[in-house]
Amino acid sequence: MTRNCAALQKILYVEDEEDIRAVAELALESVGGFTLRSCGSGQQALQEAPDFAPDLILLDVMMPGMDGPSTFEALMGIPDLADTPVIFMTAKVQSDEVAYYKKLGAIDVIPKPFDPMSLADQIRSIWARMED
Amino acid sequence: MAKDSSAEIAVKLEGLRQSFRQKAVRDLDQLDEFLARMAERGLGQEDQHAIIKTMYHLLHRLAGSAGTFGLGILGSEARKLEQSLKPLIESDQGVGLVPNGGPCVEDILTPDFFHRARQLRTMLSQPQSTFRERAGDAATEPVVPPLEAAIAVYLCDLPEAVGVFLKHTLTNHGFTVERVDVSDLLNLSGEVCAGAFAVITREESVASISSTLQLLKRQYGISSPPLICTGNHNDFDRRYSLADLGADALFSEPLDVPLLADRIERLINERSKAIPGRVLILDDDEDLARHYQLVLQEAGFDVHAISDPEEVLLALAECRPDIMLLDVRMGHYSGVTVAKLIRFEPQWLSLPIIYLSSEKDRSVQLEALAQGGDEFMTKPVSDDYLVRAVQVRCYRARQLNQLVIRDSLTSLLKHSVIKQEIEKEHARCLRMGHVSTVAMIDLDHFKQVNDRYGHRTGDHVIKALANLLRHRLRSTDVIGRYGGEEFAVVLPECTSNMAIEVLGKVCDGFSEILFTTSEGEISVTLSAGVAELNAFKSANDALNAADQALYWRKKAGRDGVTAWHPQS
Repeated sequence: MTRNCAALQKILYVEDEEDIRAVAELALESVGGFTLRSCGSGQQALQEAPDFAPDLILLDVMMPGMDGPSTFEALMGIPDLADTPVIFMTAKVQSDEVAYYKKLGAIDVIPKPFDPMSLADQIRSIWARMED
Repeated sequence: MAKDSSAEIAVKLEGLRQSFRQKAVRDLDQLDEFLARMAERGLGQEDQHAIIKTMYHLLHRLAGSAGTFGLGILGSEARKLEQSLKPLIESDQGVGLVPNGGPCVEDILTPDFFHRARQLRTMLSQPQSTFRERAGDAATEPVVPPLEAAIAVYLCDLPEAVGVFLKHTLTNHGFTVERVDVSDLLNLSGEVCAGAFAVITREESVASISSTLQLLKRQYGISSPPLICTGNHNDFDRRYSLADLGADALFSEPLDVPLLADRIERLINERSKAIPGRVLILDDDEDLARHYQLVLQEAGFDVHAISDPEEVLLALAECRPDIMLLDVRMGHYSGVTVAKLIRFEPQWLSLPIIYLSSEKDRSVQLEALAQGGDEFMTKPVSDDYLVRAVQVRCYRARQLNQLVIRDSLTSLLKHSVIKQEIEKEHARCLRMGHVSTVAMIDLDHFKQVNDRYGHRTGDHVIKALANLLRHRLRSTDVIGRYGGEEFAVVLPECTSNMAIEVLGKVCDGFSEILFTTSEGEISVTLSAGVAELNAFKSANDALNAADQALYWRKKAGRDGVTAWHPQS
């Protein structure tokens, strides 16, 4: 029932937890019907993002090595990706932290744990709000 | 479009859940090792630091992921432990574990912390299907989030004072309330429109808002949301004109908020009556049964079709239909006799059975009806007729069923039904090993309310509490009216601590509701007692314990929640 979702097809998903990655793949590909590229680390995302050219980037916050905010900054430094909307996914959803991620430039924050059956709808709804 | 069928997705999810569970077992083994090491004497500060940091990350991971894999209780407990460790992690930004004035390890890693951390393992044995048990705001309210979205109420074009008053009071009734103008309504997203919402406005704005709602209705294919207006015109012409313009209710000022809340609830419920029913078809002509099934499924019914009469009792138990379509001639079996056989079981005495038959002789039909059926549908049946006939009968069957099992004042489950639900959940707890809680809730000094302000006010108070419980609890929680002003609630997969938190909020919200009486506005409080079902041998014992806890609460000053505990 949401509007303006036609443009959202390709999602780049960055998450170091393998099991969470697997369930998100199911939630976004099988349930949501998106084309998904999932990466296990910020570094991998930096390598794969330019070729994949995602419409949207979903980024876990707490990752070993390069964390979510660092990955975000690095991705935004790639000219072709500078305008790509980013959503953070995090178990830290205190309001000040959400404000911080939004200040960084994220369009929204999805709290963990997420519901695999409604994750795609949640993303579509954020996307539609952004388009409105 | 989704690439897999729901069944395939469910199977895959279950596989992922099992694999997560195995990994979580390993994580908790590791956590136990860390706890054992932390209990060792003479552990160096650096080692302590490393272990606490690893434990923090492990708990953070569990907190963020367990709920996704249906282990919401484990996740929320892990989050509490993670939050306990947080001060140590934050104070340890390169300056050692115990900086001046910083938290001390012993203050945080208390025996209680060790105990709770070791208890996490017990939460793994909860076979929950709680993928829906996620919290949008998990950090602030990690426990027992309401599963159903609250009914949204938009206050549109109301005078400032009325708007402020209604926003406050209707929020206390459990609604999500927003003050908006007409253009905000026009911009509501399809997702919001698909949910339950109502609009309250002043009578001068009814025409413009009504046409806005019609636009939304056409745009998103929704049924018309309830439109309620406030005003003081009591003349017939004005009322007629408001009804003609599309208003569903008119409330005079000063507004009786509990009555208004009840009307919103009713109007929303009326609009959601189009819930399709369940149908069981028994016809030995497999192709025909399949055809009926497809036609009814297309119309939104949940349909189970069988062609072997010997399977009928099993199919009834599995499908629990609202209505049954039964072929009259099935080889050497007679549908009429099968209907009689079905009526052997007391639980199917009131199941509407419609015979499908090419028999046109009315006297033969009547004879068959006398044997256990309710109606004849003469073959061939057109698809359209089939759908309409089943719709009407399903709706009536559901209405009747509601009357049988639900209390007329509150629409909550009746005494006998809620008792059965408590017994069912008790048995489930014992079988599955999870923790569930039963609560007894009682309005404080209710007799005085009735005696002093009359039964009409008393009924408003009871209805308001019923509505609030429906709004504030999860859809999986079962609520019943146990007696006059007494309610019983079953909270599956919920510890007594969680129940105290959730019901505490219900207490707070309820005490803020103002009821209009002949002597001015009053508020009423409530008391609740809770007990964990699995701590008792029988559901009845658990119910008595909750009742005992309720008694303790009353003795302790009412207006709150008390959990049962064994007395020394």
